[in-house]
Amino acid sequence: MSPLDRRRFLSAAGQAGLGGWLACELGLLPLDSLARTGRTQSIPVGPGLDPRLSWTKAPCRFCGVGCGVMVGVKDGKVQAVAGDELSPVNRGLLCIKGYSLPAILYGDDRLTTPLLRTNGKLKEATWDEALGLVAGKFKETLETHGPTAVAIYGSGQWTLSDGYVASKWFRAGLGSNNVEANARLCMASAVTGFLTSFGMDEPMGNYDDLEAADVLVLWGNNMAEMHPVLFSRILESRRQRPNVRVIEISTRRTPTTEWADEFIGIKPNGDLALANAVAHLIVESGRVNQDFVRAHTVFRRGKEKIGYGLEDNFQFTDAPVEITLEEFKTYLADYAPEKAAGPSGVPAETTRRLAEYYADPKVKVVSLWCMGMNQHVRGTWINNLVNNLHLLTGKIGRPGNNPFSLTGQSSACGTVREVGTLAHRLPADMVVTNPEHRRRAAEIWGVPVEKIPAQPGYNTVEMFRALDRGDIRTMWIQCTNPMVTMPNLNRYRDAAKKQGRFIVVSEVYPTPTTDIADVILPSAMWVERTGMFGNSERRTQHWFKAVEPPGQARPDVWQLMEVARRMGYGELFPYGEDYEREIFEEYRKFTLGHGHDLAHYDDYVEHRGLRWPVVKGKETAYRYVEASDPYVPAGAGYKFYGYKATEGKAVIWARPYEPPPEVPDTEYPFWLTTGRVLEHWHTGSLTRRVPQLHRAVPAAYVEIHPDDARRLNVQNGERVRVVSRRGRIELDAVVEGRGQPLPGSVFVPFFDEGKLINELTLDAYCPISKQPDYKKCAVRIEKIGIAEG
Amino acid sequence: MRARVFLLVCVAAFLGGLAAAQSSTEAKREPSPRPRRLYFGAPPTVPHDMGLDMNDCLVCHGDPDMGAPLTPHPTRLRCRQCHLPAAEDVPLFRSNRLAGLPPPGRAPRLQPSGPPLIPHPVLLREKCLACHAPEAREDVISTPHPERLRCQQCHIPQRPDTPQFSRPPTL
Repeated sequence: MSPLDRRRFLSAAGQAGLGGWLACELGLLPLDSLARTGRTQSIPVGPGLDPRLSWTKAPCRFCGVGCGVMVGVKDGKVQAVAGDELSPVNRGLLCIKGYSLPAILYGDDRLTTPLLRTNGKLKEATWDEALGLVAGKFKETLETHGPTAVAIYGSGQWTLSDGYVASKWFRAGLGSNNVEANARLCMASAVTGFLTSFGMDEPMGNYDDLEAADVLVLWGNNMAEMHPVLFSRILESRRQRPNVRVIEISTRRTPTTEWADEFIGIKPNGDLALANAVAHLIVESGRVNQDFVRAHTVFRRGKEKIGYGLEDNFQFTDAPVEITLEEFKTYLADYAPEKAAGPSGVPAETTRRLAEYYADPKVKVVSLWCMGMNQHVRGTWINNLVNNLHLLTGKIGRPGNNPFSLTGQSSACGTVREVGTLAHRLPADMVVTNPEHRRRAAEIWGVPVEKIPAQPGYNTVEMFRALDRGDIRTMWIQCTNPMVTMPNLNRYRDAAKKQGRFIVVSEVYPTPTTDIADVILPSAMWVERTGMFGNSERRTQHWFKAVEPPGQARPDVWQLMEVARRMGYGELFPYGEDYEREIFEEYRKFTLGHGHDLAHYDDYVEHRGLRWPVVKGKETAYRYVEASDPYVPAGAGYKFYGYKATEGKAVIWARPYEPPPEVPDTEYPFWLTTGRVLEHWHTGSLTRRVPQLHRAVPAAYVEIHPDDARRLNVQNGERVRVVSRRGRIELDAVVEGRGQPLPGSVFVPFFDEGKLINELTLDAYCPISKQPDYKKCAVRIEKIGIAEG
Repeated sequence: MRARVFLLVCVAAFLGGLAAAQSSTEAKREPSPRPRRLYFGAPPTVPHDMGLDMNDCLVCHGDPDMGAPLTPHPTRLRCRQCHLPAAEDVPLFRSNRLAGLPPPGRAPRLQPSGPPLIPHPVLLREKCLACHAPEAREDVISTPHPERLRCQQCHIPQRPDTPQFSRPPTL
């Protein structure tokens, strides 16, 4: 049966009720959910699942890998999950966070009713009261302070519809571009990296690269803990093909190091010098892929000494100029491996070994990265520099030869990058600064084009600075926990508590962010609602609501539309009960015809996700290459069709090494790096409510290198004080733990709301991507009992 | 290379274990508490300290002679991806109401005299005898015929979602 026939059959069966009857007979679907959706869910289920439960498919709620899970429901509760053996992402495997999904719904302190804060006390309220109050406050702020004084701060864990409605309401309704999301803290540099290198966002390859590659270079990515299922695919590939090599580049030895064939320790920001040194060696040894470079690339150099975004209202616009290959070679002269060893901290012979993998045309190389390259004051630059290595060698667009940015959050790609919930973006890679893009958006949204402001809104750090200054008065925070995750947290927490600020928070559990909220709205999460996510490999995935949310909890998208309607923007949201489908079909119009094409809603209902662009019912495994990507004309070989300015050529960038803004000195002699652990998801608001995850890592700690610990006379387990120019906290020292920072640096995970390491971090950011650098600031370690200095 | 190192480690650990067993009484090993799972089908937690070196679990859990519960999926190398130390003495952050279902009990049969079906997914449970060998585990069914090895010759996973076979309509 062809897919089309099958779809017709399923939909016919659904209309006739036959499939539904069958599903209910077989215990696949409770009758009430059938009645509610009015559709059957004749979705194939993996083998051997417990017949006492009804099973439905969903992507995992946690990271950007987007594993398929089967969700087992009985008595209106999620009782179990299993890895979806039919999902091409994880093929039945999960990690321990994925296995813990049922428990994240059932923490004892779920928020189940709207709460209003009056005189410092939270009081229960009806939805009508709460939504009326929120609508009133937004209206009042608009009238007295204008559209730049309202803001919405969302999430890479927003579903597509959450993000789409937020963006439409703000840009087409309120006339404000103050739409941001926590993914600014997470992958903004990968976005600007892809955009400036290839003219279009998101990886050209996919997860099959992991098995196809001979060498996998992890540029600052603790994959074993952060993307465990993909890492297990790499381990399995190497088990079957022992010549596969895993190279880890990092400032800290991690659980990934245990499995790496080689660990390359670098100095903070040293990756800039290392990547340039590798490019230098490729060029010097004459192994540039001349045909590819000539036909498909141009060389550019941008502004340098571009600052660190530490001042309020920081502005930066790059001014790239075209350069020749010869000029590029001259620029690389500074990065001969011996010279680069100073800033990078990598011995020349190690650099040569690494360069050999990239340079050898017979070796297939995938570069993987996540926060190490993205949370970086030169995040866009290091993304460009790693992309350069693939462009110089033509190792791109083919299985096992790609630069591949991994994503932190379940829909950072789908919602924040594709739907476009950043201050300057419109859906499908369009931007508010482009008049043609605004015209197109206004047309689909049915509003006059003047309604959509051409000036980008505040980026995340500037948004909270504006809240501090009083330029933003009313802010809605959904599905994220900035009072744990903002760098230089003390300033922004004080900002949120100031008089005259009104903060609305949609959440599922009490957090430090609900602590500063004037209104708390209880959200339905994951399978308590219907939704869609988009993962790191451009795969859009759909799930149906499987259980009722607790109490009065409602989806974020519903909350947004209800407030918008109360403010008089009802005509923007004319959707009926099946609003998820209607919103998606409307969003889909943005994507068609320019390389972002999505399929119809029903295609995602049936499939284990599809990788965009989906053209004529076919997903695209590899972009920019002929035969795989329908946008590349026959005979072209490659086309980077997103780059209009270069007529479809990718850009090789000259980007120099520059040091971080705050470096250790005598007063603060250590680097501080922050990050995550396998067991906890971001700020722990979900995972700490799962007994086994919490017990495995119950509190934050500070990892210290054994040599440093000896010098400081600090024992393993001893309570120490970590102090920066911005804050201080007490933590237990871990001297030989799961990770080991390089000498002279310490590591602290950020999940613990009781030990807020972000009170110490610096709010410096990449001037191009505006993504803060959580990996580099200066601290000192004090023994407790010694007088505070 | 890695596999060879691992084998060496295994052999060394095994020899060490033999020596230790000879020099002390057999009853030294304390029965470890039963592993806990979040729900039926979730991976068990580890009832003992997992230590810092996280990659040597298979020294004991991959070797039948070590007496530890055997892994049913020995090709999966990174145990910590799914198995955490139980640490049950650590107080909870917040309590949780997930109860989960108990194990399903006796597996169904296709017909009264037929072999029982497999009531769980087979993925990650490829080595049946790791759990179903006599005396491997108390809480699961144990086979009376471990010598027959190829379990899926007769026992197949149940697929309750599969519709009855029917012939496609002929034109």
